[in-house]
Amino acid sequence: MEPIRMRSFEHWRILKSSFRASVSRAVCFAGVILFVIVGFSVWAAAQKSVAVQGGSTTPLYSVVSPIGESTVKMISMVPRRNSLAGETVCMVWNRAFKADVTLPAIGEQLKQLYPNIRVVSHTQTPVAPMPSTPDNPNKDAEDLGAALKKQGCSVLVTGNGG
Amino acid sequence: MAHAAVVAEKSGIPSVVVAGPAFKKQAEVTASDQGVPSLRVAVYPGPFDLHADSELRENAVKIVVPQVIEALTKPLPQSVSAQASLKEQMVREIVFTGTIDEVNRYFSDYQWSDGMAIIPPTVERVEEFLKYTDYAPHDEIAVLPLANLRATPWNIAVNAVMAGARPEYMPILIAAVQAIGDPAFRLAVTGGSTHSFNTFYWVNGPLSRQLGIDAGQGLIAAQANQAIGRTMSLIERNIAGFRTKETQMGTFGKLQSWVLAEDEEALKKIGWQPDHVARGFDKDVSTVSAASSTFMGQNIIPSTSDPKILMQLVAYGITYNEAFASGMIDSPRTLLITPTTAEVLAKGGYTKSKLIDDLVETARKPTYEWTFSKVYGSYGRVFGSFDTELQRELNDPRAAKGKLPPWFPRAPGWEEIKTTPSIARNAIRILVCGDPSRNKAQVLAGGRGRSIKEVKLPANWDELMEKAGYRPLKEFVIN
Repeated sequence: MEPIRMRSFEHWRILKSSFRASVSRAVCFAGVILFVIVGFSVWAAAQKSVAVQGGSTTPLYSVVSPIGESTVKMISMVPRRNSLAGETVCMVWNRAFKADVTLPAIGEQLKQLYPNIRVVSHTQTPVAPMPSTPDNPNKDAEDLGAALKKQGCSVLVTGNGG
Repeated sequence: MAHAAVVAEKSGIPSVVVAGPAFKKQAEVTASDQGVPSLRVAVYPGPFDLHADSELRENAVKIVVPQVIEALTKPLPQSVSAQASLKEQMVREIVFTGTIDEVNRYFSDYQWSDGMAIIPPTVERVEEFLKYTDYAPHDEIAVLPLANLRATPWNIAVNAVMAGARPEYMPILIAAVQAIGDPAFRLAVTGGSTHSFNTFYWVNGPLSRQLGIDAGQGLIAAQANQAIGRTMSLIERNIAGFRTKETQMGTFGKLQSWVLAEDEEALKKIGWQPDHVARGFDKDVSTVSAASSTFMGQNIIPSTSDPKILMQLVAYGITYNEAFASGMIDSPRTLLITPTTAEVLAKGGYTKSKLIDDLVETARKPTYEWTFSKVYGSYGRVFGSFDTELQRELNDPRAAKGKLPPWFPRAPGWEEIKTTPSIARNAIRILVCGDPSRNKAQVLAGGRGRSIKEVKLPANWDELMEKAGYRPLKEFVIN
């Protein structure tokens, strides 16, 4: 039996059909590949944004302090008295907040509690000095210090702050 | 009052301060800032001035005396000595690294910020500011009370970065710090006062115009003015050491510093002198002045073209736009007048000096009213009953008959009413600024301190400003 001879147009028809099938297969394959690539990219992008939120690209600032430089040396506090018996208590007022009422009341009560205490009234001491700075010392502070020494003050009560 | 205790402790005398509840911390911090680490405080239970004398005595005996005895006899705890050295260590070193939110939280936790967002002060940003001064970074500009910390170009710049100021504001900021560091300003008194004295500044000279520090409508709210004001408020916090509920005891709080510039073009037009010229500076020099004010209060709205009546209105504002019944009965006043209002006065023959003369003459209060305010609203300077004080004031040479201010009716017998001046001549400053199209005046009543400092520019200022995109300074000189 002789082989079937195809006419030329049949060759072309078969070729066309075959070509279409090939193209279809290629397109499908490409589609799958594309799907995989896109899917991977989305996943990878998600991982990267997590890394950013974790701080790897968030700006960080190394900062300095805004406070001034200290000029004052701290003193060592003088020890407190064992008792107020026999002490000289100086009262100093700041001309404010009725310290001329409270300080005498305090002084009188201390005399009741410690009969041999000596109370120097606020009327016998300078008024509390205003603030001074290390390079502009206030003369009032010096005067108060001298007055306390002159009076022989061993403890001080001052007021009133309000 | 802590200062007396500081003197005593430094003299080797144990001491105790009697203070109201809210002032214990202030006393302790104040003493620490003066070098006394463990001040003892006896707390009185309430506001002294609102208690009758009998209650004061009873509370003093029952509640304060036991605390006084304990404070003077109980051994002290092992006290702080590291605080000062901590401050020294922190200068110039990196104290923190973090995101912008973390930096803001850190600064807030340390009370270094005012609660509003700050620009992180990195070394690079700080060094940018240092280009605008010839002072070395750690030169002493001032020692600021209350904390007695040293203000240097470095830490001024740090606070300026935080505030969002521009590097070219540096010379103004340095002059402003010098102004409040001057003992004449009395920052130690006004900075933490319960009166909530607000520190404010005004700039004169060509630099204000070159930098765009506003003198016109809305000036204190203008951007440059705000940035400088915020910087100075942060400096009061971080270098002067005034912190709310600790050492800044303003009863209702303290506002961010205001910054003004005087409208010198308007002044030239009406023939009035800028404030710094009246203080002895050349008009082409730039200065920063500092003063303080309680809350602003109502403005005056002159609705007259009569310069004399306008003056009387301003005198009324001076008399009453200060604190009645609070002890601040003769506080200094800074008077802000808009250019058009000043023009009416100028056309009536007033100069700033003549205006002050007439204001002092006119701004008076009935002596009875003056005494009422002083006795019942004073925290001090009162030595007797109302009647005693009234007699004292009526006998004062300043009290005079026949000078009843023009806003009182001339009822029969008015000539016998004694009045007392409510302002002294050297207590008034006049600044022309604000909306030039509005008829307004504003009286700022404040604390006693004022100061003025010349602004020092670096040698290469013109070059720096050209690079920064500004017109040259000489273009802002008013001829």
